Amino acid sequence: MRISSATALLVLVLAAGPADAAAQAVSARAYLSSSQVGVGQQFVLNVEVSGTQGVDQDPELPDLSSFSVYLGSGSSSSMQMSGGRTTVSLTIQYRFQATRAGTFTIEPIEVRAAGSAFATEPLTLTVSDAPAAQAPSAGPGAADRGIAPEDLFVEAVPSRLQVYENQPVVVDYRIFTRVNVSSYSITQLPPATGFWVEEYPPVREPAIGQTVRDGMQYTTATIRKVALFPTGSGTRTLEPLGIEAQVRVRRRSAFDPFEDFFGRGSLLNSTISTAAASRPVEIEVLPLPGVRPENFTGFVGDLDVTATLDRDSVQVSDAVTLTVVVAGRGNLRMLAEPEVDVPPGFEAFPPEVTERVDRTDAGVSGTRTYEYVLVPRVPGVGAIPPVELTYFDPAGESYEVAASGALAVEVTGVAADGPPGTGRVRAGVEELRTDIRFIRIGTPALVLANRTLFAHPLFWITLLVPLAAVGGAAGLRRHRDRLHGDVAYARSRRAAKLARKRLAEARKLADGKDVRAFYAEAGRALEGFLADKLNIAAAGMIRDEVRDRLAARGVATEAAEPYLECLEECDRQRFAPPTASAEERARFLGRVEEAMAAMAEHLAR
Amino acid sequence: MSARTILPAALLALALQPVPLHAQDELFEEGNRRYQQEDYQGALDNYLRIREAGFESPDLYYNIGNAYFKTNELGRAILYYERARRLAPNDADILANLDLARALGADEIVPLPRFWLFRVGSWWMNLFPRSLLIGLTAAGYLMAAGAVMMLVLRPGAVSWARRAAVAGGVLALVLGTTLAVRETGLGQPRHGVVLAAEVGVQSAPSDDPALQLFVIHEGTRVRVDRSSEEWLEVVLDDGKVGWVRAEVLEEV
Repeated sequence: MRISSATALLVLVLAAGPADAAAQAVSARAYLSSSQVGVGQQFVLNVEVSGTQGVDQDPELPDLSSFSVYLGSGSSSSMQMSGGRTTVSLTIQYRFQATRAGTFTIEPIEVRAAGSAFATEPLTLTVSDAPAAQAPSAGPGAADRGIAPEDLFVEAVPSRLQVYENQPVVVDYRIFTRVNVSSYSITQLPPATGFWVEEYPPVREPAIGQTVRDGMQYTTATIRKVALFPTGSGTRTLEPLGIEAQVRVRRRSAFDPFEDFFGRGSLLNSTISTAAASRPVEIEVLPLPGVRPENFTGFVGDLDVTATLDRDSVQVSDAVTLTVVVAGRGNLRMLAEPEVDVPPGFEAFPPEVTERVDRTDAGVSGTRTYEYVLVPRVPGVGAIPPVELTYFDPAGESYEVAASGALAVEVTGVAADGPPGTGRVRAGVEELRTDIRFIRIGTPALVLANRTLFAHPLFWITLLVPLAAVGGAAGLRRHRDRLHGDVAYARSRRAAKLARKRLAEARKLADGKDVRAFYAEAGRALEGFLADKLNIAAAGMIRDEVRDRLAARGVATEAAEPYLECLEECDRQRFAPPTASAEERARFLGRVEEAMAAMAEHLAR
Repeated sequence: MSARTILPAALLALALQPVPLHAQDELFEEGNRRYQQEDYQGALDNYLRIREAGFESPDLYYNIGNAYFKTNELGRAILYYERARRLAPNDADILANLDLARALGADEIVPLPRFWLFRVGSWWMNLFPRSLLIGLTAAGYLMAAGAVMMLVLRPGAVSWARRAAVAGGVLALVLGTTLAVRETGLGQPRHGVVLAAEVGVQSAPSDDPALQLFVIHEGTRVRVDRSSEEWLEVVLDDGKVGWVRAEVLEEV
């Protein structure tokens, strides 16, 4: 027994009635709103879990599709206090509509709650062929749960059942109720397969009407309104729209002693939630009759086209605005842009489009405004032919043409500089086909295949020549540094040059009469060369000292002997009588050169 | 000294330079003419003669690829576009035609994403055309050498020479390393293009049909990892690995 907590309190305090509260242990059971329904009527499968206010996961229902259609679900929880203990329970309601007569068994439902699983008892449902009349003597339990399908239902009301393609059907989803609905929400929006949907703005306060249906008074309200444009021919189905409503009911308990006392007191009212869904409605969509005209826009309804220019005459390069207004009833949003033939010599820019759509009970109507900016480039008269749109008129069942009047504008002034526009509306470059890019023309800059850079002589030249140059520069620098700072080095480097100079001098004297001068010159060359090489003073060279120094430089005494002999010869001849013939002197000069070369070689070692 | 060295070296270089370049250019132009007259087979014959003479250039490979494309040899077209791309990695025409040719291939292979460092590396490697890279490296090297000579011969006198030496040295070092890696093909994977119409890829170098892993088609580019005389281990761009017979593909 489900009762609201407030009532439970009363029962507890005033009546101390028999408490049938379950123990705190969790248990689950399933029951049907009525075990007997008629075909087409709704029934509610309740799954009640007591001892908890939540389930671990939604129970999995057995497949009932063989005899019913699932409409929606809702849940409510309640609390019961008895003997100082509070018992809570949760009831999940699944609404179905019976579709087939017969007796059916609903298999046990597994419920997972508070960490364990429970299985309910199997249930039996009898669906009778004839719509069952509402049992007049509904039990208190049924009355408690209280909302019969006739009390609250939703209907989809299409404006017509047979339309042409693209002709709108205005569908009203109306709620019919005999009970006090405090609020509702749409739980299931029908998918709009095969339709272009234009939704009417939702109404915050639905207009309430009164209707008599099957001899009963109903309160009705439109909860959703759409205009549907079928996108193709055939039979289309408006799928059910499901709602969940909160209904205020008054407990009708036969033995409630406080009924009269409290009357319709709010304490005895409770809110229960119930679900309802509209029945599917089939709409037959007819294909458009006859042969479609070549430039048919696909628009179905009623169209009117007007075109205006904002001025009759214009200067070259000034802008003139062409306004094309397309007004009509039908699916204006799907209407393609009208083709405007821009007169040659005019440049046209893409239009600015504004749109206004009105949704009325009669359908969808509106206007689309295209504003083209045209700029004339050459003087003359620009004629704009009528703008034409072909549409289908479902009322007359014929194809009609809506056309604007022809327009003309006078262009004054002189042609603007630059090429005149082609008069075509600018658009992106369209690719007609794809192809590979063209071959390379010209010199191909061929190189030998498989030859790396390292095989190229120029690479090595570029690599090594600067290295050699840097090396040479470093050597040159070192040479110059020693010339500057190293006297011995400088003298040594100058020695050969000076000696050669002196020997040349001596050679001049070799044929002359002055024998002593020859030997003196040759001696100076020999002495100077050795002094420079050894970096000692030329004057007063002592033979033994020379030998020691030469030995220190690694020149063996025997190797130095020819040189020293030459020196001695020079000394002797300088003071001896000048008897040496020219031939002798020339031979001596040869010996000197030989000795000098040998000495230079020995010293360089 | 330097003048005495350069002259013979330059003469040597001239002597080593293959002479019949002029004849090859004429062959190329003749091929282009035939291509424009839509005699694609004739154009192809001309181009291939240049290649047989041992020459190559991105333009030549590109034109060969185009000629093969026009004669409906998709695999060879892609092969030659890949060869052209190896020589000129960032050429827009080559890339466009390669993309178009690949889109006609039967295999749609989604390449594996590459580690970002490798992407940066290959971006850098392919950034400069070869000639520009060579020129820049040489310029940096010569500048550095000249500046060092200046510093050696006239110490302390020129501060700009030091900066020039550092700048040129860094340029030559960085670009020279890049050039050396590119020239030696260090770390460059071997690629091949499938020329056979349909190839079954085996899990081992064997013709056993039970070992067939998947099938690839003409024009698909694969990486060649290992090779024996008859068999190649190939890796697809999406990471699939298998063995094919060596004759079904040709290496780029």
